[in-house]
Amino acid sequence: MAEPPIALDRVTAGYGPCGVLRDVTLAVAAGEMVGVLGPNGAGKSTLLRVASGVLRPQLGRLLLDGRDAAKWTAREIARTVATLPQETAPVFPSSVLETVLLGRFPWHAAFSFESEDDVGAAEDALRAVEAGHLRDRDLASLSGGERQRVLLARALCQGGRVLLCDEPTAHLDLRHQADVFALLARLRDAGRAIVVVTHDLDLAARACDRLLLIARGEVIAHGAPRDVLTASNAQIAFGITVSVREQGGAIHVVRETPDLQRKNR
Amino acid sequence: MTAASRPAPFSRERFVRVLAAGVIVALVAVAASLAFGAERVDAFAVLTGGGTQVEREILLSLRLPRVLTGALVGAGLAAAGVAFQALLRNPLAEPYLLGISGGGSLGAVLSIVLLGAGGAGFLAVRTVAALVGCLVALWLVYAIATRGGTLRPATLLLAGVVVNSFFLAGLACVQFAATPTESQAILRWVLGGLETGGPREVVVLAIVVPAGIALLGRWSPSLHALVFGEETARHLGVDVDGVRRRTFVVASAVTAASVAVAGPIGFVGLVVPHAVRMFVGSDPRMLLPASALAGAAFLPIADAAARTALAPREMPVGVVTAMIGAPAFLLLIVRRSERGVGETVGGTESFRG
Repeated sequence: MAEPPIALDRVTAGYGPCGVLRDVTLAVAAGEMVGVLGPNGAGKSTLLRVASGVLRPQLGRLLLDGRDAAKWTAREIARTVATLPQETAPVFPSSVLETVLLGRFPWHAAFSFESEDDVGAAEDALRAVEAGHLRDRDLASLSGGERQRVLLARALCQGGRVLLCDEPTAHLDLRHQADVFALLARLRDAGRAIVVVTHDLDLAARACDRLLLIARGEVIAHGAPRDVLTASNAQIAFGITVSVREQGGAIHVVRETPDLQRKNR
Repeated sequence: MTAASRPAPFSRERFVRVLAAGVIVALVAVAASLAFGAERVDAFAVLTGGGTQVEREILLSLRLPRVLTGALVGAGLAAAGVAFQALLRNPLAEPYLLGISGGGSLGAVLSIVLLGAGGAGFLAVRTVAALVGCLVALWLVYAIATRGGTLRPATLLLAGVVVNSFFLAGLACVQFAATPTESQAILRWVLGGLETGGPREVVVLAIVVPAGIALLGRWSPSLHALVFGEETARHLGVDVDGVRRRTFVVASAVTAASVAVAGPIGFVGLVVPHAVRMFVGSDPRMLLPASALAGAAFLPIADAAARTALAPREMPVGVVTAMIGAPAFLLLIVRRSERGVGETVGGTESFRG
């Protein structure tokens, strides 16, 4: 069996001596999408930072194609792993094409010019996310959904086989949330290994092959969506009571909210 | 892979075209500023081997070094401006406004008073002292504007103002304590001007400034990525901390060489990159060399204006650049605050922790 494009092997990582993330193991195969769930401050972002090579683990290893990435340069890691950040806000006006072309950075020598092949790759990436028509627009003029697709195009233009997404549906309306996951599913089917951090439990359950539920830096559950998204796991991770319903093969997590109605009218 | 429908934004052809245009503009400006001055000189006659002895003296011994000093200082300050703006993610960052020139001035002045480095032969000492001053100022501004590991762009300029005032006060202290002769020499580092530019100064600048610009240009792809955000740059494989350190030191060295020769000349690093940005866009790979060439054109012309406006008296060129720069600075602030709430003075959207 082929080595998975990306794997965290018993990773402990963080910023202080105690670490934010403790002993996390996760391997993602080509053509597989894994959702990372958990409450705020659980260590999801830290996990992504380790997976993207930005943060070196204190213990454990980041394995890319089965090889230890500890000695790799940031540029070498960026050729394998692309990250869709929560937001990119350039200080100066930048066109969509310029933004996507930035994805070629890890492939260029220290100083080199952009070729027509680079532009071709950028245009292909834009078409892959159905954003070809945005090519010459200013990034600042785009809607949230359009911007997210452009940033996804940049990650694709980077060309690696691993795609990490940090809350790709934050700030998006219902339709665009579904659109983004549909896009990610297509990329997964095209053979990419995808890790997506999200708060959208329903969409994650639908789109992801596996889920990783973490809380306080530790893995609470890891496996098929229906095994991970249980009422008891949610109670442990989020500290709230939920009911999990299955309808037509889809899992719905419904939280029991406290009574928010106005009491004294 | 499909063929591109249009050429790349940063293609070799476009780079060569922009730089060729920049070289022509710089050469024309340098030639034109040779022709202007308090004294009328037939520059063309002198350069073609004619002219009177006095004309030759004025043009070749006085005006030529001064114009070349202006071109090199202008190029250096403009390039440093582009680098600081990209690095600090702040369109208003500039050596003078950040207080870096002020730090350099105090460094140079201290070397005069404490080490007796006021003479023409001590230029290297003054340059090193200015570099130390620049780096101290930069470190101070950076430390003040950083909270919890995150650089706050909006605080940055305020920190620059504070640091600058502090250094100016230090400068005034030293000036009062100095002997009248030293005090006269110190005046150069209170108001920036090019009249001290002699052959020796030109040589030092001709080594430091082009070398610095070449290094900054070499790192400009990383600066381009940094414009999109620190985290984004890291994900793209930029060695953010290394590039930041190297760029800070080199941009400060270029500023220091300029300050050691010409004192603090303000706003060049602001006005020139923003004007050039309108023609070539914001990509530092293109903007940095283009701004350097435009700076080499701008400062000699500004100096020619300073020399001729009140002839036979000569103003320091810093007066002219401030008169152009201050309104331009204001315009940039107004335009930015009109673009949206949350983008206050030099602020960006990158406040997430």
